[in-house]
This record gives sequence, structure tokens and C-alpha cells, in this order.
Amino acid sequence: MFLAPQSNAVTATYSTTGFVALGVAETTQLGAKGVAVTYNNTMPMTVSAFVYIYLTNSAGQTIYIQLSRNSYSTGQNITSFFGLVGVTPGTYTASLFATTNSLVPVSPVTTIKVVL
Amino acid sequence: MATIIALSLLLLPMSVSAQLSYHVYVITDKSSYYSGQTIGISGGVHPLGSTAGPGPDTAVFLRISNPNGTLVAIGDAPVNATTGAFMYSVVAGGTSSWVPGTYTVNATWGAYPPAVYGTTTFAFTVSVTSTTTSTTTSATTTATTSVTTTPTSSTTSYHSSSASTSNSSASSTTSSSTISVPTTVSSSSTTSTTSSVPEFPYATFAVIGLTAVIVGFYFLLRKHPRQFSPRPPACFVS
Repeated sequence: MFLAPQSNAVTATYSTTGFVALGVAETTQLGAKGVAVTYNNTMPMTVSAFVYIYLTNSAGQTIYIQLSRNSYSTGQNITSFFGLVGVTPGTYTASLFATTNSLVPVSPVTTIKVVL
Repeated sequence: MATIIALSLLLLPMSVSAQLSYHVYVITDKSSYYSGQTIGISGGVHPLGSTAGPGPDTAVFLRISNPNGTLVAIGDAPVNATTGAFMYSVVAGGTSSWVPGTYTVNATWGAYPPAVYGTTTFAFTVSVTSTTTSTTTSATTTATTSVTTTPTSSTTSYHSSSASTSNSSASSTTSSSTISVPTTVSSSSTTSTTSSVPEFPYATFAVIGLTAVIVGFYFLLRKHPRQFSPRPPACFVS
């Protein structure tokens, strides 16, 4: 009568292999130069995730942070485009990764060199 | 009632063992940084009461926020599967959001929801060059440099106050040097006084010398009156 359901059923197990970056490229959309990244959700559940990008200059300082929020169903690919508007022309290193809504990383960091 | 308590005690271990609890800790390699310095961030993710790691393919999400809460840096650091350790580094400065003050580092991990996190803080001060340019052009460079190159473990509010204290002491140093100027002037006036001493008293010495000659001649006349008496002309000599 008083037996509670055993709560060992973990609702989600996040790992950095949950999201896979299928492609990262420097592109131009609507006249704005930026970086496009496509992530694939390999986890057996829908994940509402943030995709982050940050730029570091040659000194290693972070000079730009932006994020994109999407809901990824199982096996879905979604491309996020980050227009690097307002960034001083130069050569930077762009780093991208994805986290869940509760800020748990679900992908490794992917880097690309960007020339603006 | 006793039955309920007994059943609750029986169920308690089941609910605890159902899901492991983890804790996250994060530290920085120094307590204070200035612009351009590398901030070394490290930490660990362990099950409670254990030093083991959380297993493969997990990472922590790192956020660094300025004193106003603005995000100035983010990162994603992999966690060692067996030891639970993680490391990350970021260079301080680069944008106008890096204002002096206390910064917060937040490390979030959550392979098994809900996510857990750990935080730490560090102080950030402006660079040596910017501080030097912001100070006055008086000779206070050494004082300013000593303040900025030896950041203490205290918060930046303390730091900035100590910097302003240093500046005020520097300005007092300047004022004391200003005070020393009249001393220099007085010494120069002393020098001028020395240079205004009357020249050698030639007239006095001339008068004294002439008087001495007259007195000497007088005594000579009295001693040998015949030698200096006037002689009659030769036509009157018989």
C-alpha cells in the first residue's frame, strides 16, 4: 500500500556525445558574415538546447559571445547561424558547443578560424 | 503508526540508492588578475563521499560573470572519466565588460539531472599601463606600479581604494616637495647674503697706513732733528 515507485528511472543521461556537429563553416547570410553550425541530436529524447559561440582574439581574450536556442527532437539536424555583426575586422578563433537548458554540456567544443 | 515508520525506513535506502548525488567544486590558480593574464580554472566532479570520476563523456559548462552579472567568458571543459578533474583557461580582458571588481566563476555539470554546480570568485584589476596613464604626470610612477603589479587577495573594491590611497599619498609627496621649495629659496638667499658682504676696506686701510707713516715720520724728526732741519743757502755760508 505504501510502496512508492522506485525512482531509479533516470529521465535523461546527458553526455558530450549527445550532440554531434555535422558541419561548421564561415558563411555570409543577408550580407552579414558569420558562422553556421549544424548539430544532430543523437539522444533518444527531445532536447531543448543552447548552441553557444564565442570568439577569441590572438591574445586569447574572449571578445564576443552569442547563443541560439532550439528544440532538437531525436535524430534531428538544426543549423544555427551566428552573424558576427559589430565585431572589429580581424582574425579570430570561433568556438562552438551545445548545452541543455539547464546548462549541461552535450557536445564537445568545435573550433574554426574566422577572418572578418 | 509504527508500521508506517518501519516501512518508511525500509523504503529510504531504496530511494537514496536510486540516483547518485554529485558535487562540483571549482577553483582559480590565483585570487587576483589584471588584464592580459591567463586565468587558470580547475576543479572536480565527484559522487558525494567519493573521489572517483563521473564516467565517460561528460563536461562542465563554465561561465565567468563580471561584478554586474554580465557574462564575459564561457567555456566547455571535458571532465576526466576516472578522476573527475577538469581544467580550463581564459585570458582576462578584451572587452569593456572587464571592469574592476569581483568576478564569479560558475561550473555546471549534470550528466544526471538535475544539474549541479560550483562557484568561486576572483578579483580583477586594470592593467599597469592603463593605471599609469590615468595617474598624474608627477613623479609617482613607482608608487603606482607597486600597487598594480602586486595584486592582493582582497577584492577589487579594496584594491581600488588602496590604489586611490596610493595616489593620495603620491600627491602628498608632491606637495611635500613643493614645501621644500621655500627651503631652497632661503638657502639661495643665504648665499646672496654671503655674496653681499662689503668689499675689502681699502680706504680704512689707507687712512690707517697714512696715519702710521705720519706718526713714524714725526717720531723720526724728534729723534734726529738736525738731519731734517733746513740748511741755509750756500751764499750765506761763510
